[in-house]
Amino acid sequence: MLLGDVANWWGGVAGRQVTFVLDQRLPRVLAALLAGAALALAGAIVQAVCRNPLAEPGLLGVTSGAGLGAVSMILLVPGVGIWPMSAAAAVGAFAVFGLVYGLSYRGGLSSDRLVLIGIGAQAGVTALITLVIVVVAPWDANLALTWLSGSTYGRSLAQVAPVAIALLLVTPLATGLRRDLDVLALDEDTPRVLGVPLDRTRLLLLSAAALLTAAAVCAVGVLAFVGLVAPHAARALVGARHGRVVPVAMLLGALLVSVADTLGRTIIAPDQIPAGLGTALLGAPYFVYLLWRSRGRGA
Amino acid sequence: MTTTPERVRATAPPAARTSRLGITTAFVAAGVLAVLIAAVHLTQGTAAVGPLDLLRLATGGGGDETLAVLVASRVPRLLAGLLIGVALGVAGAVLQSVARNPLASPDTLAVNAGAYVTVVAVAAFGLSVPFYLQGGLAFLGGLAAAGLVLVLARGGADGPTRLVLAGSAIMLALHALTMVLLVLFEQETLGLFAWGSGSIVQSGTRTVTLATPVVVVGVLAALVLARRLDLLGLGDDAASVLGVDVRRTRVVAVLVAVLLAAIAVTVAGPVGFVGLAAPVLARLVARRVPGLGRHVLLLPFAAVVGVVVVLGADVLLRLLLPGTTSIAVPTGVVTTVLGAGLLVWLARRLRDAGPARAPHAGRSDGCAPARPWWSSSACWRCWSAGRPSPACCWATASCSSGTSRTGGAAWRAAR
Repeated sequence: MLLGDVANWWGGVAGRQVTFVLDQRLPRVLAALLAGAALALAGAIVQAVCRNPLAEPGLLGVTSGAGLGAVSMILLVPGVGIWPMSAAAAVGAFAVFGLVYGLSYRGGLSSDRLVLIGIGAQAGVTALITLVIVVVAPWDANLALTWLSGSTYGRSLAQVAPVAIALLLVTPLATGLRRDLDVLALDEDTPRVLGVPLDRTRLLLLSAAALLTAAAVCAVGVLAFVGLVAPHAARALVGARHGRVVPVAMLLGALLVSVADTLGRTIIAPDQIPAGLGTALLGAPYFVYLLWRSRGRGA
Repeated sequence: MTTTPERVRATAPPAARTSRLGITTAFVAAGVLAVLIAAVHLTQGTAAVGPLDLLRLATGGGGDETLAVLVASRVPRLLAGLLIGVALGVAGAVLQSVARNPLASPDTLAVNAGAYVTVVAVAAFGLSVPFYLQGGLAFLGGLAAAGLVLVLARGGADGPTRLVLAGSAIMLALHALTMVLLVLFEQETLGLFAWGSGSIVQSGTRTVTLATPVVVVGVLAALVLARRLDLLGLGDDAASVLGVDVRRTRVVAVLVAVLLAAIAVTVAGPVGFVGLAAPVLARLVARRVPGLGRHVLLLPFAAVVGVVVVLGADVLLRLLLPGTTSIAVPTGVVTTVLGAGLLVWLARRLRDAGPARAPHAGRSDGCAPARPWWSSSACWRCWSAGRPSPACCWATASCSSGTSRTGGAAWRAAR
């Protein structure tokens, strides 16, 4: 497969074999790019709103919630289409998110409590996903792999559509609210002083993040660390202003997932490492490095 | 309301009141509960051997079949449950005391994940090693993971959030590594996937027999340390004044805890959150029973509670799901769900211990009056103290030092 083949395919003049192969590959690449961008955007929003640079949608249980919704839908209603599945994932994401938010909201949102409760919810919900898969489809290892570790294997264009739509909806919102995000990331009082409706903006932004996460989960399953690492790297590159962080983080997220996917597909070909494991293996050392640098600063 | 180890502190000093009656009642109640659950546990299984058959066997009647089922599958399962309940209960209690942090446990410190990844790696490279060597490798893996997490979270001194965050990040990474090994070496690691959530189903008493001496040694070692753990609960400074070598006690205690957790993983796979839940429940009881907070009593009590948690989870699983399905479902799934609920509950209580309660331990920094071990990150403390200061929050709570601080400055400048 050469670049010329891709050009031919794009022009619609390629041979049958090339067309077939590229038709298979395009959705995978698109899924990786879009899901990466969506998760990175969600991560940037969550980090700003939770005012905790270590928070991310996955650590808040939203990713696992979406996974649980999607898995239950697939297994309980065999052959279900992409839209009901997306809806189920969204319901799962919002349910877990609502639970976490409600449990941690006690006379104000403390970001530490949010993170701890989120981690608890994540562990519990991941165990529930294992339970559902083991009980209903014990022999479907591929399914388990996709939903528990995230994979772009065998995606179709239809599965990518929800992510694209969610991105189209939320990106303008995040861009419009970029100054609010800046202020929200400061502290509790500044937004009030500056006339930002605190709770409403927060809820709106977190819901947008949950929506993005649910869509990304539908496309590629549960991906770890993207939403955490991408916004961080973006802040390291362009500073903390969200007008700049948001686009850069989205690009980096897309890059991270597609690089992880490409590596996972090529290093040990014909075997494949699922993209989620790739992002975890790439992202975790970076996260450890972040924790290491801030050692002693957290208290 | 106070947080867990503070309770220990309140009851730990030698002069503390003790209530023999209360302690006896607590032990007897937990013991009876464990025995009852164990009895129910023996009656559950896929073979058609019910309570009546077992009764008949106990009174001298019954057939060889009943005995065979009992010896081949149910008793080993029960023994494995007992063993890992004891091991994880004590390991969690020791780790929580060392980190002075109610959220420390073999799970949150990634000990389980580290031990599991080494076990899988050994299987993946096609090595067939004796049980003790496998246990030893699991011990090294668990130790490396716990060491990394403790270094990153500075021994839990940075508050529970950081400990749990570092732990779950390392755990995710190790989990990914495990999955990669499972995917790459599918043939060699067949069956390790379901085992990955921790299952106490056994195919004989061999593993359990081999593991028992190690667990006994580990528990005894923990009991020898009990006195020093009591003193460690008073704070580093107080403990060293009282003649405890703080550093050495910490290292030895962590080694003992990791040994116990690793042997549990070698027997049954990573059974989630037992090491978190059992000591926390034990400490809840200890708060109401004066004297039970001393480690020499608390550790055995946590062990009994651990047994109750593991066997209870298994019994619950087998009650809820029909016989054949419940074999496939690992016990660890249930304990993880229960433990996660407990983690959420603990996290909700964090706020209750306000900054005004800052204990004597800890040193001051510019941001907050003291550094209570249990408090969450400085940022949270800043707002709770009613002194919201963005500079302090970003400088202390953020993780990429230079960036975020300059980021904070940029924000302020932008306004």
